[in-house]
Amino acid sequence: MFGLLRGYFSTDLAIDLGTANTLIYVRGRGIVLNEPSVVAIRQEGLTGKKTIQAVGLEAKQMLGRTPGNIQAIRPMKDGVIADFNVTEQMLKFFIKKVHDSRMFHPSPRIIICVPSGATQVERRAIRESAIGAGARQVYLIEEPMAAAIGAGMPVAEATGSMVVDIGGGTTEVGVISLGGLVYSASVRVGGDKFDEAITNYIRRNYGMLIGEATAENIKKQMGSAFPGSEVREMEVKGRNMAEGIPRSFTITSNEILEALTDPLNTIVSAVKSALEQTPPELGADIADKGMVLTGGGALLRDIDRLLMEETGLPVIVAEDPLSCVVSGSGRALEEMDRLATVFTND
Amino acid sequence: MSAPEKSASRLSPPEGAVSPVFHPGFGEKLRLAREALGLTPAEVAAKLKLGARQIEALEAEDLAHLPGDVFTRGFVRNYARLVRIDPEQLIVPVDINAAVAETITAPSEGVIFSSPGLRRWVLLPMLALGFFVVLVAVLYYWLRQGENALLGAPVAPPTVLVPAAPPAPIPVAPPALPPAAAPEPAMPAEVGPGATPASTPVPPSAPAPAAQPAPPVPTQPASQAAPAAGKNHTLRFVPGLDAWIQVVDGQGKRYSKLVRAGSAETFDGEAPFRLVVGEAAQVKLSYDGHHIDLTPFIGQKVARLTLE
Repeated sequence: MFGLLRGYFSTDLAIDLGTANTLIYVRGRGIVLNEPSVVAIRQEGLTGKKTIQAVGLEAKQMLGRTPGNIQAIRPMKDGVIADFNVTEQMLKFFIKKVHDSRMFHPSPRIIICVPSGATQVERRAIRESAIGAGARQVYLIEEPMAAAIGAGMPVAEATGSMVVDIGGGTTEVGVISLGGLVYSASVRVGGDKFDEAITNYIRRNYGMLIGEATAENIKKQMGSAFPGSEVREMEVKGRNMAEGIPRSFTITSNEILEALTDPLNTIVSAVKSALEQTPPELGADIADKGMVLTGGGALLRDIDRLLMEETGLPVIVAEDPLSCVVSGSGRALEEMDRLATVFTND
Repeated sequence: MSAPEKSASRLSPPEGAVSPVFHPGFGEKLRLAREALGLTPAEVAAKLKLGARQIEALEAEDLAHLPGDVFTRGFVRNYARLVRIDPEQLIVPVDINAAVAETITAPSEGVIFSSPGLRRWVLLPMLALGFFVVLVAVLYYWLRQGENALLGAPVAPPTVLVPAAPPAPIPVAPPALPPAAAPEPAMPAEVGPGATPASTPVPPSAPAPAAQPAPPVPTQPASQAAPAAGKNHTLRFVPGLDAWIQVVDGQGKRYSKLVRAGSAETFDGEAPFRLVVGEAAQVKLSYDGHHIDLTPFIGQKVARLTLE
């Protein structure tokens, strides 16, 4: 009885539980939350009891800058849950944040995105953590489908649409027709792997150690996927491994392009293999319309150009690539009856 | 019609017209920029991986020959970037969230998100609440009327005539469920109906003239005598074993006591009396001097009865 009442006072949510960012769409209100998926946990000295220090943006600023008793954790890795309890706490925090009512503990119905390549165990973990965070019902939607809906592609029509969602942890490639995924593939390469590749490149070639945040900053400012006419430079600070002293050095955009070659090649081969597996009729539709890029990775400079050159097909970057997945899930939430086919079973 | 179809139908213009999502003359601007760079449509098509036909359609603003809205906007953006124009000059920016809210919320109002679910969420608490209210009302009514309801049910109580005084019948009604009986004196009036004229309020008054002169037992003269002198009756118990005796008189006064074997206990009060007598087989009871046989009322060992 009490649960029913709580449910009655809760709003339905669509959540893009991403490796890098978590976005929440509230039914009837739109996207209301966009926070990094980071949790800072403090361990009490005497009792050893763990408490949550910060969640989201505040916690992200702590990454790599924490003292011994605070741990800044990214509970999602490669698009799936790496730390179950912390994910649950983070979801609980976010769900509470988007509910204004203080009278009842929220108990909403939730649509949550999963990578199409997630195993049954990983899907179950996401479902369980949402239930643990207070959801009374959880529906799962595959990320390529959500991204395609969010990008405004005609998913329900008898025409092939191809979407490439480059997220923080995974890249999802999906071919969609008549409200279903005809082909989907997921490679565990995304923004995080780009950062890692930059860190490794600088360590190898400059003997300097840089942090996650610096690597991300370099990627955002200078990262590109295709050689351009203009070469940019940037001054970077890190720790010299030989001397053990912080130093600064200058790096160029061509070097970053070189550093990103490996992860980009993985994405290109995933796209090519999707095209190989696509039935010819749908392939013809895709050749006509091209593919749509979504996710934070789509903001990497000239990544559309790279895919265009590699596949010979038109490539379009969605208008708001960062929020495509959550707004697609939100649209599915709003029209659950009509878009029933887009949900997935465990 | 699905959501994307709806959004497409909202966004795409009728054939041949310029879509409201593009600034008028965007095709012309693209063509001029391309010519300024000295590029042919074929070169542009090769760079954008589009067909030459599609480039021509873009420049002619012929949206009917281009794929859906999302794709056309993407093509225009790519083309603009290639010929170094700001895409914002050509495309009317669409607030994605607003567009989603507009295309989605409105139609879903009529549909209602999984309507059976919503109805369930609305109805269940309401039903539960209604059921609860009814339950409370029934309980209240039962508590108020409980005793009447319970005691009114039993079959016509056997009227016991006190053998010692044939002319003065004393109706005795064994209650069916005496433990639940509340101390309300209204009861006996309803106990009577089965017993008809003999046990109606008349008989108590009938024996009264005969009995009254005799009983005034001088045990409790001070308190009881004055107000209810005419109605007082006397009960006398003589148990053969130690017996627990409880008496509730017509005014609701309750006496309960363990009466020792061999001793005698006398109670004065107004009729009707409700009695619970332990070890009833061994107890001799007299009512205004008339002996009453408890045997018909004995359950295990305890007799429960009402004396009028």
